[in-house]
This record gives sequence, structure tokens and C-alpha cells, in this order.
Amino acid sequence: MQTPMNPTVSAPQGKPLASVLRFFQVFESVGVLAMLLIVVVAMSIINPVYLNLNNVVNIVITASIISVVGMGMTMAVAMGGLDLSVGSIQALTACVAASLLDTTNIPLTIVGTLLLGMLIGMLNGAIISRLRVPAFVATLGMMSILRGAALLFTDGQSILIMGHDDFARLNTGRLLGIPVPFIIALITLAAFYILLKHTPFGRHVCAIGGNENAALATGLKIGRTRVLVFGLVGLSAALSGIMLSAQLLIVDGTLGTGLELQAIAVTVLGGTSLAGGSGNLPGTLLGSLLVAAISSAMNILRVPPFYQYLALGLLLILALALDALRRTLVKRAMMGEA
Amino acid sequence: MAEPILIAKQISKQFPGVLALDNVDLELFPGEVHALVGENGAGKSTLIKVLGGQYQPTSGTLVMKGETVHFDNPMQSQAAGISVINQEFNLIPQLSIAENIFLGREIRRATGLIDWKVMNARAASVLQELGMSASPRLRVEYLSVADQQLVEVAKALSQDFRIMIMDEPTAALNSAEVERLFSIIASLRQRGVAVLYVSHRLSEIFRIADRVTVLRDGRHVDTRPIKDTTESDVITMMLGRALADYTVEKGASPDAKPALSVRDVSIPKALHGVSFDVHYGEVLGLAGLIGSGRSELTRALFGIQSISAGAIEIDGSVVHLNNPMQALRAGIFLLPEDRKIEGIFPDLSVLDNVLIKRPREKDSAVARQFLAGRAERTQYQKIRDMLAIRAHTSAQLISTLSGGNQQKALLGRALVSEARILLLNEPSRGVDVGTKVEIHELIRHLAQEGCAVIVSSSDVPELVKISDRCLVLSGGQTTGLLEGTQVNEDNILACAVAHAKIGVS
Repeated sequence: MQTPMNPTVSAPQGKPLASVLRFFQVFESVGVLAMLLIVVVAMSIINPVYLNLNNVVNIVITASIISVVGMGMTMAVAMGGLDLSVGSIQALTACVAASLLDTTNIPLTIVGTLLLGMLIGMLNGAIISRLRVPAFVATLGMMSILRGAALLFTDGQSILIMGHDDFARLNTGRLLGIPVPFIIALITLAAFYILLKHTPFGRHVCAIGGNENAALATGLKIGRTRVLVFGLVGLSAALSGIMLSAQLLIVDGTLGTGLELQAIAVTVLGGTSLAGGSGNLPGTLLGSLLVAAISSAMNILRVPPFYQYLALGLLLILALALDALRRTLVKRAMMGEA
Repeated sequence: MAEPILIAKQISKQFPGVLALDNVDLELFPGEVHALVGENGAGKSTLIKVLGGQYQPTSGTLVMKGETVHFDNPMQSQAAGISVINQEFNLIPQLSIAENIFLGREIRRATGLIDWKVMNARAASVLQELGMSASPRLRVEYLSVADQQLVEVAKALSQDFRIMIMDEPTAALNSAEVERLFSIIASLRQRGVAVLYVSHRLSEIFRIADRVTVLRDGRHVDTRPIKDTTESDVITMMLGRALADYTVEKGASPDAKPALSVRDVSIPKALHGVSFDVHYGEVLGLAGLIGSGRSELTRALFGIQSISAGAIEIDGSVVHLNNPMQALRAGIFLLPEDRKIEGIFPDLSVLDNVLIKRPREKDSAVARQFLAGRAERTQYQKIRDMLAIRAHTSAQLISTLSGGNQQKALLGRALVSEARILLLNEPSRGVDVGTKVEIHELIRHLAQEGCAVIVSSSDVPELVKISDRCLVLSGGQTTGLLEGTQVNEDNILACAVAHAKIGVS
């Protein structure tokens, strides 16, 4: 090609800013890690029962189930969307899984349930992109529709899962001493991470979340990407539904209420900005551990469960306020730079 | 010359009630820089959108390589090798430079995963060609506007686009960045790229363009080689009449007492002990390159930026300006630098935009809570007539007006505010020549009416035309306070670069 033109007038820019950015990227993960450590250390002083193996395993399993949905939610948030229907999807798929177990084998149950979740999610995506309904409203509607579907499916009754020990092992099993749910969470994390960070699809997700007009002008297939992303959210919610039914062994149509709040909280706590354009998946796992650790702490401290709603709401607002502060600081650092 | 790379024949575009383009012809040759000029509303943006595939012409044809082409959407235009670089970039802030350059055409390995090594290396080589040293891994949101623009150019270069359309590319650049862009355009021309360069700044066009096409009222006026024409010819073609080298009446008699005094004001990293006075009845120009502290100073005067030392006095008494409300209460009005971001409310009417901050202190406590329909309409009509705002009705959304009329509406806010100290940032940025004259006359008029006016502008000829005195900043310090006949382009530029290289902290 040709010789470089005028390298001398090239404006040197960006390096100090890059370090500000890097500081915040580190802080995003370290911040939630620090909070997690504070909770664990404080609780181990207040009540050593907290650190019992049983309790720790419980925390990890709870966190694993939340984090799986959180991965899907993080993907949606990176695309500049939200999915409020994850709780209802979890309930419906958990009930479907429980009843499928009695009619077919475990692998088919799992595959069928995951497929159902994915299809429901893709329907969300189709409503959003074809009917041009904002994600917030579309999934709010689906939240109610699917909740109704779950209650109709179970006829308001509970479904017991009995005589399926292998299925229960999805919750109680260990692999190299590690609880199976945590392994599922790690595999989900790895898969979503590769998808988001190392495939064109994932980059297009961030592109749409960062600047939809530019994505459109670049010729990205926005509709298809959106349908796929919500399909993945549905898939992740169904996976969590399977994990939850294996844990509870008794399911009904009211499961998973408030899950959307938890999933959004762990996403934002993990350092993913609701502004869209990027997603911090490892952070989401850490955020899930934090939420599970706090919830367990409150149980051990015998805080009435109603207060847990208060705590979750406060945590969510705190996380959002931190996100806003971070953006202000970065902006200020940039202005000082300019 | 060789075959034209693109021929636009008899392009018309009809919008409801408006014929935006009326049989416009345009030919682009490989290796030419073709300037497209015209007043706001002349049809430049419509033509760009037709070429870029955003609009479909009502009649007329586009011919490339001897074949008629149709662009139903921007993608088809891009596929044909046309890249449009708008003032609003098509970049994803959160993605890296390389990811932006290759967005939608990511380089993959056999596994389907992105091949970062190859993609970053290729991006780096394109950046190097443009003389840009940033790492391709850097996120675009951390680049300056000028560098973001280069990423857009890099995107087009990497796809080997043959036609690049640049819409007001220098609007947000400082002079060094403009030079860099010009050298890049020169090199694009050498490799045979056709550049369609749209700008209000005639001096730039005469520096870099080979030919110039003038549009007026949607019609093609003429296309001429740049060397066979002059700036005043082009202005005459744009306006349809000659524009006498206008001068605005200066030399009102300012009050002896200063309206606003700035005493040794400092802002960390930006401003170091700057002092000056502005009197009622005068226009003080404020000049300085980007980084001179000029924008920080205006922000401080409007209470957006806090000062670390010094004092600001109004009518002889010290005021503390910690937020815009306090500045407004102290009688200061600010015309923001970027009307799209900080100025207009796009979804409100012209009337609402002009009267958005109508002082209500004189109204009764109850009346203050309601809109005063008739009184507001009367007030709006007075301002509209005075500023010659061209809007169909007062209820028209401001976003449907041309840039010049939007700017006038924002200046209308100054009249509404009854402020006596006016802080005008880039008052004529992005407006056409005719409106510019009107705005300059208005500014002088406001000074005559007894306002103290500070005009902060990167347009040096503008400062020369309208300022009684001109304060020049460089590196955060005053490098000149010019008066009377000293206020000329040479002096302002000389002061603006003074010290700049010595490197003030």
C-alpha cells in the first residue's frame, strides 16, 4: 500500500484514559469480590456456622442457579435489553420438567425443557423485533402470560418428583468434590463468555447495545441477533428451572417470583452497565455468589424472610447507583483529559 | 479526466409539500475532491442520503461503471463502494477500534471464533496508513472526536471504498486535526478515491477541493473547477445574489463600569490566573484553540465548572457560581456550544423551545404554575419576527427546522431570559452564510441594547467581524487582549499559538 501520511500530527491520545478504563474494569470485579469477602468474614465472626461445609455448599448451589439465569440476563443487558419474564419461564419449565420425568427419561426431559425455554425466549425476541414492542414491556407481558401458563399447566397443584434419584443428583452430585450445579454454572459461564467475547455474534450483540443506529447502518442482522439473544435468555432460564426442580423435588406454578430482580441485580453488581454495549459475565457469577451469601447470612441471623425483599431491592439500587457513579467518574476523567 | 465513477442524473426528491431536490446532476471522478456547498435547506443532506441509500429518489438515476444502480438501503450503497461519514459517527463506543473497523465482517478462524491476532494486525496497519498511533484494542469511546473520525475513514479504507462522502468533517476538529484530515484526504485522492466534501467553510473548500458543486433551493446551480472560481463567486451562487463583504456596525459606547469582572480565575489543568472585564454595551470576543481553556472559562462563567482560585464579580460584587441556576439568577445567559446536545429539545415545539425558561417571577403564585397561552404566543411572535425565525407555525417541532433556524430559536431564549450578560458559544456554527449575517447583526444589536456580550468562537473571521475587543487564551493563560483595529485575524492567530508550544503545565 502506501507510506504513512503525516505521522507527526497524529494526536497522541487515549493512553491515560485507557488506564482509567482499566482501573474501573478491575474495580468492577474487585468491588463485588470485596463485598463478598466482607460478608463472609463478618459472618464467620458473628456465627461460625456460616462457614460450615453444608452452608457453603448451599450458598454455592443457590448462587449457581441464579448465575445461570444471570448469564442470559447479562447477554440481554449487553444488547441494551432486559428480560422480565425469566422467573415465569423458570416456573413453567420446572413444572414441565417435573412432569416430563414421569413420561420419559432424564436426557429427553432435559433436552425438551431446554428447547421449550429457548423457544419461549425466541418468541420474546420475535415480539420485540417484529412487533416493535420495547423489551421491557414485551417481557413484562410475557411474565404474566407465562405465569398463567405455569399455573394452568399444574392446575394450581404441586408436582412431586419421586423415584428419580439420578435427576436429584443434578443437585446433590459431586464431581471431583465440586457440586454439580457449580460445574453447570462454570460451563454456562465459559460457553456464554466465548459466545459474547470471541464470536462475531457476540460482538454484534454488543454493537446493537452500544449504538443500534450504527449497527443498522453497518448492515448487521439486528432482528435475528435479538431473537437469538432472547432465545439464549430463555434457555438459561430453563436450565435454572431444571436445576431448581432437582434441588426442590417439589415444584409448582409460583416458583421463581422475583427472579428477574435477582438476575438483574447480579448482572449489574457484576459490573455490567444497564447502558448496554458490554457484558461482564465473570462478574455476574461473583454477583450471584454475593446475593446468595447475603441471603444465607440473613437466614442464619434469623432475619424474617420478608426483609430479604427489602435487602434485594436495596442491593439493586446500590448497584445501579454505583454504575451511575462509575460512568460519571469516567466521563469526568475524560473531560479532564480533553 | 477518466470515466466518472458515479453519475447522478436528474435526481429529484419530493417530500410532502417540499421538493427537496429538483433535477440535480452530479458527477464524481476517481481521484477528485469534490466540494458540495449550499445554504441550509439547499438539498445537500438530501443528496447525501440519496447517494448513501437512506432515501430513494423520486425520479432520476444513479449510474456506476456504466450501469444504473438502485439503493434501497444503506447496505446496498455500501456494497457499491460508497461510504458516508456523517457528523454523527456510525461507531460503537464500547467496542474496540479493530472491532469497529471489521464490524459485520469479522475475521474468523476455522473454529468460527474471531481471529484477534489477524484482525488487530490488519486494523493496526490501516491505522498506520492514516498516521494514527492508537492501539487497535482501545475502546472507541476513549478516543477524541478527531480520532473517531479517522476510525470511520479506516473502516471505509479497509473495505476499499471508492467513494467517500464527508459531511462537515471539520466541524468539531481543532486546527491541527484539520491539517491531519486534509493530508489524509490528499492521500485518498492520490489512490483514486473520489471524495465528496460537504462543508460550510469555504476557505477549506478552496484549499482542498478540485471542483465545487453549488446547490440552491434543491437545484443544481453550477459545478466548476475550483481554480476557475472565487469565494465570492461561490457565495453569490449559494445565495443567488452577491453578498457585499458585509460589516456589522461596531463601536457602541460601552458603559464605563464593568458588567462582569473575572479576577485571577484558575481552574486546575485548564486555566491559570485569567483576568478581564466585560462592559455593558460591548462585544468581547473570546478566542483560543482547543485546550486553551476557552471552553472551561465559559463553563465556569455559567457555573458548570468550579474554579479553584480567583473571583467573578458582577456589577462590582463577588458572585459564587456553583450551578447554572445561580448563573441565571445572576443575570447570565449561556448559548451552549452544541445545539443538538445541550440546546434544543427536539420533541418540543419552536414556541416551547424559545420560552422554556421564561422568567415567571412577576407572575402571581398561581399563574406561575400554568402556561400563559396568549401572552406566550404574543411574546413568541415578537421574538420570531425580530429574529426572522422561519417556521410554519409556532407548534412546529424544532427538530424539523433547519440548523440556522434552530440556532435563532436558541438565541431567542437570550431575549426571553432578560439576562444582561450573554455568553454565546459558537453562535454561528453549522449555519449557512445568510443566517450567519443575521446572527452577527443580532449580536451587535443586543450589545447596542445594553447587554454585555461574550462570544466564544473557533471561527476567527467571525470574531474579527463582531468583537469590540478580543481576549485570546493559550495554554490556560491570556496571551492577548486586542482592541479596536488590533482585532484582526493575524493578531488573533498569533496570540492563539503563543506559548502553546512552550508547554504551560
